[in-house]
Amino acid sequence: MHEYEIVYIFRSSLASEEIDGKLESFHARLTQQTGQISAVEHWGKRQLAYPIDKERNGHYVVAQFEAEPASLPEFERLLKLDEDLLRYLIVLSEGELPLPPSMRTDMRTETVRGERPAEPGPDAEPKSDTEAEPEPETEPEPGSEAEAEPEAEAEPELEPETEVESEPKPETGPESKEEKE
Amino acid sequence: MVMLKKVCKLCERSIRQVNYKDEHLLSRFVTDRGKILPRRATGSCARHQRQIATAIKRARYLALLPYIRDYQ
Repeated sequence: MHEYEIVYIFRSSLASEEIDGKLESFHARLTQQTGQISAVEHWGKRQLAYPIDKERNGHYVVAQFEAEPASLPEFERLLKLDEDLLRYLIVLSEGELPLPPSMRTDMRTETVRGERPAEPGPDAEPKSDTEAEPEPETEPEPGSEAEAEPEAEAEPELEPETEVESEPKPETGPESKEEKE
Repeated sequence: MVMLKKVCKLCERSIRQVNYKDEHLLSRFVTDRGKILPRRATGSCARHQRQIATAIKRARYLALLPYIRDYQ
């Protein structure tokens, strides 16, 4: 038995009941022979990156299942017979659950937030990350953090190229002021 | 822009396995025409570059990423 993951792309003109019916019949073939469906995730309708069979949109469904490798050729034959299944992909599951659409949007915002400094140049990211983080740690007083942080955050966005030179200066600036106080 | 020592972005973010369904992540490893970027351009480590390449090819098959973008 192996753990597999399958992505179906159905014609977007199908009603959701029709898709459910097709999925049921596909999965029935697997469960007939010691197979087991562990998760089914509907992504819903989304635009295809290129037209398939003159369709511009497709209904994506991701499922995870366990099955004997020997049972797959027959299962795939069944899939190929279906004209409304634009495409399918069966791969060995990597253990992760299929990403639900909600999680996908979360990941999107996360990556966007994390990668923003990298956009002006791919090499700006590691620098800004490593330099910005130690700053609050090395400063013992919470007041100095508040002063140093806005400057450190604003600079990589405005001038990513000069951040190497300009960052150490404001770092020493607020610290020395506080020492005097 | 001065080229400095590259660190694999995926190692930095401690992504163990690149998922072919995350087309947003993968789109950062292709050119604006949709070609897979070489390691020398992205700084990816060997392990992640292999995963990226496989994932992009799967994502292309599933029409999550284009084989060629903006081709007239």
